[in-house]
Amino acid sequence: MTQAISTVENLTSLSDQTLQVPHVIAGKFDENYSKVFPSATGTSFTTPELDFDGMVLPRGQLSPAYDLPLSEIIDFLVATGERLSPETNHWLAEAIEATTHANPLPRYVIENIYRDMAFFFRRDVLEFEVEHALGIGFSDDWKEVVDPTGRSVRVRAFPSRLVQILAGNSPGVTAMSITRGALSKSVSVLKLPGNDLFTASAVLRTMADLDPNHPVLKSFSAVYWRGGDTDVENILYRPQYFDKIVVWGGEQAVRNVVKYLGPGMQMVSFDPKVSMSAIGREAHENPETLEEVVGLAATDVQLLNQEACASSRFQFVEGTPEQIDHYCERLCAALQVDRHLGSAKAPPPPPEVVEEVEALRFFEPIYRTWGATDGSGLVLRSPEPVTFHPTGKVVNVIPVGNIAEAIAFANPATQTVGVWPPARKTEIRDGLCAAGVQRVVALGASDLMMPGLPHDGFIPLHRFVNWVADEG
Amino acid sequence: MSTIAECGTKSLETVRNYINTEDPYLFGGEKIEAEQLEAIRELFALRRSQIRILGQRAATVGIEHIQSLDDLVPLLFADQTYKSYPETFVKNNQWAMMNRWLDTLSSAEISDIDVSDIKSTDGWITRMTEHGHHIVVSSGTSGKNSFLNRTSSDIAVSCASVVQNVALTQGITAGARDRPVILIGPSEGPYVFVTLMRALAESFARPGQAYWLSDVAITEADTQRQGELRRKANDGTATPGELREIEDTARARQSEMQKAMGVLADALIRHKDEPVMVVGLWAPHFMLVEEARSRGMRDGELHPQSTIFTGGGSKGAKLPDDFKQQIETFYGVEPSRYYGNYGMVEMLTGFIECSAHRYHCPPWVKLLVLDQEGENLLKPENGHVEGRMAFLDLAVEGRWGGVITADKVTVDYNPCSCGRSSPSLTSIVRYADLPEGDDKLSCAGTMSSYIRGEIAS
Repeated sequence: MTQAISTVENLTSLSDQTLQVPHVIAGKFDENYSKVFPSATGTSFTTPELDFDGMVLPRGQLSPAYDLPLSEIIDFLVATGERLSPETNHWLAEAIEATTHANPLPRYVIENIYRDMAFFFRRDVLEFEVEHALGIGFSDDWKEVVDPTGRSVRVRAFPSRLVQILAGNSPGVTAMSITRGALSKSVSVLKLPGNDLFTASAVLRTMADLDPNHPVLKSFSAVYWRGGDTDVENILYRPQYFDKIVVWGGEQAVRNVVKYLGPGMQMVSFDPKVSMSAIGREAHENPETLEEVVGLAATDVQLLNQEACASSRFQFVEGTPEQIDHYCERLCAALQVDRHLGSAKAPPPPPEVVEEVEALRFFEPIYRTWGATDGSGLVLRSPEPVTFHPTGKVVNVIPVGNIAEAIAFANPATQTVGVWPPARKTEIRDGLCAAGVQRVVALGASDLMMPGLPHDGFIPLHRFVNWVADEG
Repeated sequence: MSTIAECGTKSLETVRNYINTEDPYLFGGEKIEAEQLEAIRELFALRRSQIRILGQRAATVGIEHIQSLDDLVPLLFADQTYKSYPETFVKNNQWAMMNRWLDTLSSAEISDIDVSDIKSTDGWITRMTEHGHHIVVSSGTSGKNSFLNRTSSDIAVSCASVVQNVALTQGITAGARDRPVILIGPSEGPYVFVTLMRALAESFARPGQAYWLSDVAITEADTQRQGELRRKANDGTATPGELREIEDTARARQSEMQKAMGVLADALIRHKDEPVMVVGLWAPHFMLVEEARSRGMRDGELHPQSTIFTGGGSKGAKLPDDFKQQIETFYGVEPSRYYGNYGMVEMLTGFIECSAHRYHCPPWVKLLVLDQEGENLLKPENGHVEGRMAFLDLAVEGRWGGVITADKVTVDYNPCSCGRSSPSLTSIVRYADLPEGDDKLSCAGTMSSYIRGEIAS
C-alpha cells in the first residue's frame, strides 16, 4: 500500500506535463518515449516508436504458448487474477490514476471496474469459457473424431495471429481481451484506445512480476497508434502477418477495419450497439415493487454512465398514462444515485441532445421530461422513440399497451433488451431476436457479459482460433 | 409583430444603418463597439419576449439585462438549436407541430398558419414562404435539416449585401447589368440560395444573358413519393424494390440534369472571351466544368476578369478528392477572381475576404471569441484572440441571431493592411478537423448506422 501511494504521487506530478504510455512488444516493456500525442481531454501523452518487426511473429514460427497445456495457461491467468487488486498492486494503482486523466468516468467507478477485472481471471470463469467456446480437447492436441464417411479426422483449435483493437469505455474490455487471447494461445497485438492507455500494460506487468519469460506474456504486444493512421495500418493489416482483426466498435473503428479485409484477413467485430428495456404493467402493483423496478432500470441506464453498448437508452413501459408518468418520476430519482458502475453525476449529454430536449419541453403533454440535461439524469417520455441517440444519462420512455410493441423498434443495432418481470422474456424473445436482437436479460442484469456466452450473435473465443483439420 | 423600427430602438438602427454605407467593413474600434453593446441590450430586451426559447434560456440563467458581453454568452444558441425538432414530426407529416416548434424560435407568431394539407418538407417551406416566413434549410453533417426563419426584410438585406460585397471585392458595379451570368441552379424554388442567385442575376446580368440550369419539373406527387421512400429507407422498413426505386429515380434525374448542364456549358463556351460571372455551389460547378471540358473547352480559356461565386460543402455529391483543384485549373483565373467570403446560414451577411486574405466582420455582426467549451468570453491580447467563434447578428429580424459556431478562429482587432478597421479573421478551422480530435473508442453504437446498412458497405 505504501509503495502504491508513493508511485501514485510521482504520477500525479507527472500528469501536469505529459503522461507516459509504455509499449509492450512480445512481452517486453519498451519505455523509450519519443512520440507525443495530443489528447482529447487536454492531457497529452507520449509513447515509444512502434517496433513493427517486434509485433509480428514470423509465419515460420509457432506461437509461444502453442505447446503449453491449457491447464497451465489457466493456472497462470488465475495467479495473475489473484494479484489484480488495486490495493496491493501498484501497477493497477498507477493505471487507475492515469486512467482518471483519460477517461471521463468518476474515479470510484474506475476503481470498481478494476476491482471487477479479477472476475475474468477466476478459474471457473475461464474454464466455463473454454468449455462453451472451444469444447474440451481441441486446444492441447489434435482431437480425433470420426466423420460420417467413417474417416478418422483430427481437429484442432489452432492459435492464430490477432490484432485486437480495444474499446476504452471500460477497462473490463481489456481484461476479457487478454484472457481470450491467452486461452486461444494466439499472439495478440493489443491496439490501445485513446481512452484506456494503461490497463493492458498494468495487467501484463503483473504477469511479468510472476514470470517475465512466461509464454503467455510473450504472446502479447500492447501499443498505441492513432486509430485509422494509414501509415501504421497499411503496413500491419496484411494476411501474411495476421489472420484476424478483432475490433470493438466505435462505428469509425469498425468501418476503418473493413477497408483492410480480404481473402486471408477476417474481422471479428464487437459492433457498436444500442440497448433497451421492456417493463410490464406488474411494475406498478405497489410502491415497493416500483422502487425495485426503477432501481434495476436505472442500473441498466447508468452502466458506465451510459457509455456502454449494453446501457439502456429506450424503455418501453406498459401502464396507464398516470402510472407511466409516475414511473418516469421515480426513474428520474433513481438515476441520481451513485451505483457500482455508474455515478449520480455524469458528463452531460452532447448539445444536439440538450437542444432537442429543451425544444420538447414546449410540447407537453405529448412529450414530457423529468430531471435535467446536466448529466444528473433525465427521463423523456415520448409517443414513439426519439430519433437522437440518448446519452449522458438520458432515457427515453415510450408508453406501450404491451411490451411486445418494443419488437417493432428493435433491429440489428439492438444488443441487449432488459425485461421486467423476467418471466415475460419468453413472450418477446423470439420476436426480438428475429428483429436482430442478440441478448435478452432480466432487467438490471445488462452489465455482466459472461465470457463463454454469446456476444453480438457469436461466441467470441470460438472465433479467436483458427479451426484446422488433419483428415484421413 | 413588432419590428425594430416600431420599438424605436435607436442604437440598433444606428448599427443597422451601416448596411447602407458603401464599404461597411471600413468601420471598427471603440465607438462601434459601444454602439454594438447598446444595440445588443436593445435587441435582447425586444426579442426575449418574442422568442420563447430565448426567454426560457434567459430565465434559466437568470439574465434580465445585458450588462456586459459576458452576459450574452449563455444566451447564444448552439448550431443544433435550429434542428432541435423531433424528426418524427417530419416523418409523420406533423406540420402543425413543426409550426409550434418553429414558433418557439421565431420573432413572429406562426402557429396559426394552416398546414393541414401539407405532405412534404418542400410543401411546408412553400406554405411558410407564402406567409412571409422564408425558411432557410441547411443540411448539416448529421443529415438532419436546420430550419431558420427569415422575414422578407431579412431576405432583402441578405440579397443586397451579397450583391454589394461581390461588387466591392470584384471591382464591378452593382446594378450595371453588363455581363453574362451563368447560374448553376434552378431559377425557382423556396430555397434561399435561389433567392441569392436571382439577386446576383438581376444586378449583374446583361438583359437576356442570365443563364439558368433549366428546371426538371418535379410534381408535388413525386416529391411526396420520394419523401415517403426516403422515410422508409431511413427507418429500415423499405423493401429492396423500394430502395431500387429511389436509386432509379435519382439516376433519371441525374441524366436530365446532365442534359441541362450541357445547355449551360454551351452558354459558358459562347461567352468565354468576355468577363462572365459563374454562380453555384461546389458540386454543380464541378459538373459544369466536366460538361464544358467534354464539349472541347480547354483549361484557362475563361476570360481572366471573370468572377467565380462558389459556396456550400460537397456533402452528398460524389466528387473526386481534387475537385476544387480541377475547377480552379479549368477556370484558370487569379484567386482574387473567386468571391471570397466567410459566412453561414445563421448570418445574413458574410465576412468579405480582403486583399490581405483576412475575413472582415461587418458592424452589425458582434463577433465574440469564446473558449473551446463555448462558455467564457476570451479577451484579446494586443488585439489578437484565438478560440471558438460565436456572434450575434444584429440585423436579423426573423429570429435570435446569436449563435456559437463549430469553428476555431483567430481574430485580429488591429486595422488591416487593406485599409479596413473592422475586426478580421486571420485563420478559420473546424474544431472537428483538428488533430487532437477524438480517438476514443466505445462499444456504444447508434441505430442509424445499421438501419442505413452502411456498416458493412
